Amino acid sequence: MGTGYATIMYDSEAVVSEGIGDFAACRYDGVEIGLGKAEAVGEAKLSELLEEYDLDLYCVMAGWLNTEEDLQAAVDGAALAGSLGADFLGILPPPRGVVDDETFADWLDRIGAAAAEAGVTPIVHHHFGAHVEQPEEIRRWLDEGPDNLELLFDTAHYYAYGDITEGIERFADDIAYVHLKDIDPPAEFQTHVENLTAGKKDYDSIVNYIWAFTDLGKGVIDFGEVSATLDAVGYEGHQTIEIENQKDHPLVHAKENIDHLRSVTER
Amino acid sequence: MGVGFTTIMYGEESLLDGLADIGACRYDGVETSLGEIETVGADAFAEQLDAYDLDLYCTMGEWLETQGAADRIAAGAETAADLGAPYLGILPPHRGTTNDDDFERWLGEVCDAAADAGVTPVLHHHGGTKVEQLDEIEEWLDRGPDNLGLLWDSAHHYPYDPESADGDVSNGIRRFADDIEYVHLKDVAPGANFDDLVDAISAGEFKLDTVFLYYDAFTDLGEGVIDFGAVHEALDEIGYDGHITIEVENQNKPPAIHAKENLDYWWAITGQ
Repeated sequence: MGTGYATIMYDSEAVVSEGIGDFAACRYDGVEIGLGKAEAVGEAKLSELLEEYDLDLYCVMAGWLNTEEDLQAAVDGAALAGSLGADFLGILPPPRGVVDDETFADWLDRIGAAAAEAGVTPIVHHHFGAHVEQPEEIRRWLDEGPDNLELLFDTAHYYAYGDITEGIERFADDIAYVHLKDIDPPAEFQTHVENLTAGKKDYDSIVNYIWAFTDLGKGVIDFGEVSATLDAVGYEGHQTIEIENQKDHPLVHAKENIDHLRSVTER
Repeated sequence: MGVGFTTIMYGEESLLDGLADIGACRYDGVETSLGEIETVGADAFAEQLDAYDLDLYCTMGEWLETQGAADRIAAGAETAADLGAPYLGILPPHRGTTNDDDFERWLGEVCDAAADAGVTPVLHHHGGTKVEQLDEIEEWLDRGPDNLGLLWDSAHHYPYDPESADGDVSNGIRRFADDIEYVHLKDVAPGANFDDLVDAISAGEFKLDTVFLYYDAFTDLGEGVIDFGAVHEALDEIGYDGHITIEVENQNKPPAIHAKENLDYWWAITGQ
């Protein structure tokens, strides 16, 4: 098991000039990168950097599945993920109401087939406001998706829809990869949750929901308990800290988050 | 004419602390949402305004896309008047959510309530809403009641005016000179694919990352591309003597620092 950090705060140029070096300096074991950034950096350069800084590539996250074009990008991205030695190809489901179930099932099958051919494991990222959001929806799409589809369990994206400990226990057999992220819900958080679950177009709800995500230890999630639960269910995979809201220098976020995780776990 | 700051960064939990920050930075006024005022209580809000010698410039309603929202905003006109706010802000419906007839009727109801209360309703043109493009601003100012004025926003003008591509948004000020009742100042730092985000939002596409990245481009004065010197000159040129409120929503440092730095930037331009 290793601990990684996501490149969200770094654009593709900064991934090269600072990001990978920052993660190594903070003694992370691995990296997650968006497919678009990986393509922009280029396979050769990214491989060289990962090798130079002794970091593993855990996951290449494909973009949001809004259109057939997005689907094709994810399908094509499987080969790059495989060539880079990534364990996982991440799937961000369509926002609610964008496609019907039949289309989404077809898209999952096509990504699953491309991932199998590339030698990577496709993982679905349950996500607020998306086609896979509620625990019952996670269960459904894991059951109805291709056989090689597994789960990316995300602490902050589970929080609003169920108890995180119970979620880890419920999906123990499906979790292949974990995102660690904290959440500090604002006063009207439940309204935003309900708006987005209902598929309502509400920019305030989207922005305020994302703004609620925060660094480990600055929200309401007990990461000591998360770690203990993962241990208890026998999880041995990688975990990646994913922080998108920048309030400080990106290196400071990278360092403080892994420091918090280490302070509350045995890892 | 005074300069205000919005309480967006503070939210309901720390709204009264926010007024203290804004007062300490020597702003003249504030803008707050009706919902936030209701949560902390109008009396407590008024006491804090008084304690920090701040005026309330505008109470902003919710998105006007249901009858319930229209009723709440209309009822808020009295709250605005009681607190001495000259303006009642109207946020148009998100694109694709509301037909023209409903919007026109709700605008009428809100404007009637504002007239009864003695406040001026101001329409906030806004990306991703029914009142976004320049011709849509003109259309709805024409279709709305006579007392409806324009809340002109520098950052929500920039993406929709080809003449503003270099950051000089003064064309918008001149074009809407007769309608501008109130002004929001905000900067924009467009990323590499900002034009694509703008197009997607205008098309009413509901993409989670698109909305967030679009909003993420809004930034503190001086951190983006907008020429606020040109804004100041154009407002002078048209004889604008109303209030100006700096609206910054993306927080990447303590809110008080945003409040202070933005006012310092504006004062450096205006010489105040």
